[in-house]
Amino acid sequence: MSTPAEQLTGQMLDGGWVVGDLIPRTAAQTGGHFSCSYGVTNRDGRKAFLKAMDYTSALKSLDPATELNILTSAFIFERQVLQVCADRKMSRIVRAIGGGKSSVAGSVVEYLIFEEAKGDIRTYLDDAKRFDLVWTLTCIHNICVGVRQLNGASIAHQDLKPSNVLHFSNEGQKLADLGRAWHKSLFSPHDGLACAGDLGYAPPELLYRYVTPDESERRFGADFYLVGSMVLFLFTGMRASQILISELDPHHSPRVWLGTYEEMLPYLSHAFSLNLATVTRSFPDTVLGEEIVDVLQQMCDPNIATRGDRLHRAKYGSRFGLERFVQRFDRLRQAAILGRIHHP
Amino acid sequence: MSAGYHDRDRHIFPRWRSFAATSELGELAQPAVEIKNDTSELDISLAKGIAGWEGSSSLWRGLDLLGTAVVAGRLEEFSALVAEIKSNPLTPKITREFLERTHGDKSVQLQLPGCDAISGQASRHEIRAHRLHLASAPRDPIEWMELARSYTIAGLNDKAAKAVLAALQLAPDNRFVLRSAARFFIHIGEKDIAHGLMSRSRLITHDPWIMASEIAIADSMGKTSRISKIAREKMEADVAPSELTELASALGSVEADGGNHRIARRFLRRALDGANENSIAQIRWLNRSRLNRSDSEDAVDVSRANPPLLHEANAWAAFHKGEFDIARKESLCWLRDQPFASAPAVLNSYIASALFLDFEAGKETALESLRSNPDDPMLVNNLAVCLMEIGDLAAAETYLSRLSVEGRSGVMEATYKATYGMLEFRKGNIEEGRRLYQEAIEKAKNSSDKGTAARAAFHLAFEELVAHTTHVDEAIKRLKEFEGQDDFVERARFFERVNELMRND
Repeated sequence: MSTPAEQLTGQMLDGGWVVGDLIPRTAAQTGGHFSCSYGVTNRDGRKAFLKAMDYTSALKSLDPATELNILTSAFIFERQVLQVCADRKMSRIVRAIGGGKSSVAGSVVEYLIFEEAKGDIRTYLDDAKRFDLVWTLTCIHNICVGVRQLNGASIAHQDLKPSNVLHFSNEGQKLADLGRAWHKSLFSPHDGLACAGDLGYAPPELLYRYVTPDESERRFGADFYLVGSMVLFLFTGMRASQILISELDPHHSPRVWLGTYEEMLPYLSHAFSLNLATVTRSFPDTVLGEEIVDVLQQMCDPNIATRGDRLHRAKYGSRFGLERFVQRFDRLRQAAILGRIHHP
Repeated sequence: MSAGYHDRDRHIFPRWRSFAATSELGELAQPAVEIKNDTSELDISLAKGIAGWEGSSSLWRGLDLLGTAVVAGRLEEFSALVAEIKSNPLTPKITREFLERTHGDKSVQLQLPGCDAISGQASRHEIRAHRLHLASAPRDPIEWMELARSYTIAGLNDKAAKAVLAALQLAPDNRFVLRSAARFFIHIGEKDIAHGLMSRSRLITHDPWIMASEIAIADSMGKTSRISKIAREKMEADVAPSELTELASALGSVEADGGNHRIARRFLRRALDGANENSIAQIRWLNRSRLNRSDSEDAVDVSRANPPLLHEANAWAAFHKGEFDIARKESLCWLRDQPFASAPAVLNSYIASALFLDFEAGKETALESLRSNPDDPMLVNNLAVCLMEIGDLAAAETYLSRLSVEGRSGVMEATYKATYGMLEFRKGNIEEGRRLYQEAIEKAKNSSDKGTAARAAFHLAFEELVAHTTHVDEAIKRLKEFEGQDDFVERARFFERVNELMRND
């Protein structure tokens, strides 16, 4: 039987939005799902994406009050964070362009409406069928800008991955899904988790269950790593933790290793330096190769204590600021447009 | 000439291999301290990735899914996807290379040291490669230790020491770094430093590998380890036997030294469970030197143990059985495994020259090893003998002049006297040569070292024969004195040489 959140099709919502068809859930979402998605069309012809909260599974859980509290808190947090982004006019964060409540089958369904993208960057890359250096560097630049905008408002994204970087025809790339984010002064039910985002993309300290005492360092250090991981993904199709683990002895993989992160660090540092050497060799253009490897060296250092931009720290007091990377990728993008650098 | 100096005493000091080889041998597989490991979040991440892939399969979604599979440690479940991605012409080349490396049978990737000859050129190449690597990754402690090992092999101990200190600074509490560093300091004769590193380590009360090394180094210095009680408790902990093998060997060695053979045997039998080659070599040595009551039966039976790189144990076992072909090959493999160590080079150069009369090979081995061990008196001795046999007396004399007065005395004094005797013979000072040989024989006999006395007696006979003196019969008659001696396995070979020289006379 459909839940109220699954019965929105055809509804006219505030702001002139008409709800279209339900976007089918994937196999992984059909278990404990907490939201469902629709395409929506405005009276003026604009198309958008609607995310409706679905509390049904929480009500059926063993502890409905707690589960419901978590879901509603998460929704309130996401709405508040999106408001912060809107107030600060963050150009590289997917905007919530509407939201509200709708009554369906005697229940109230809360929703958010987001600007609609053409798809995530994987879709773009599949359609493109060839490597485009200018597009890649532009995309990285946009990701850096997006994370800088969030970090500048004391928000850590925490779940930066290819599926959360959306591609827009006219505006380029924007970061989506702030559901697992962290804000310095807003409460989120995920705040107690060491790794709120997808562990499959997480930096080594989180993969090896190390929690730095300094929360800002932990959150922004992870975002910094994830940006570097996206740089690697866009050039190679691989993420930073993947190539790191590929270089490790199988006994040292996060699934198998039963020791501490501190004990693993020398092995991680060694694997990382071997990775960098391999990545360097894969760039025929040595200028571009040196730039990318330097970026990876700073961003994807498995040691959170040494990760970061030392020059940024000297100037602004934080190792994880992205200002210099925004400038750097803008400069590289210009160089690519002018044909001064090439890849592959 | 002698092979036996390094066989007189043995302690289970840590081996120093490359990081890759040490990892492959499983010596870094288990952590010093265990913590809870919940990997359910990785399974959730992978489930999401699979769902996304099933919803819309494409190259870049496939690449993304493989990334999660690698991180989740479940790549082997995605063979079809790996094949599909590897065959897709749009897949980045570097990704294909990574997949080739990560999605294969790990057992075919073993890179343990082989038995090919060592080369000075190779160690120089290695130094260059490590330095280049460190220029871009100066915070990699493992690479600093690899550089230190290459420097040590090349005999550049000062540079090696700096590299060791850099590694220790970056990773002061890492098992690989600590044990490698300890082995380096033992190599350069700084056992105090090696012991201090182990005993002050934060791992000393947790890590059986560090405990084993601490106990062995303390024992070699005549000290009693302060962690002996904790180490015995560790032996009863719920730890994989392979993690405890060196610790059991170390404790067994201490007990054997103290004459507590029953307790020693108990520890050494524990060490057999999951044993590595170092443990087996230690047990075999203890069998030979401390524990055996008869030649026919070992106190601790190691015949079923066959861990990788069992070259030291095999070399000595073959040598003592008189299987010199095997001993020669195994000693070379042992040298390849521990290229900075002098013991395998001494044994190999001795077997090559004294038993196979391959003086060029003996010279090469000794020369190569002298780079790492410029002051090893037995290497100098063996090299000098090879040079004299080749006819390069001047070079032999130059090398022998390296032996200090203190070096010439001590337990190997008889051997050096014999070598000086040979030098005098070859220089034509027959009387002086004979006198030195006779002194050597008496000296060895007085020290109850009948093996060395027999070797000196045979070499005196060789020299009398080579010099066509009138004392040949007397020298040969004297050999009968050493008949039926168990610790002189070379007798048959030496008699062959005597006969050969007599035929040529």
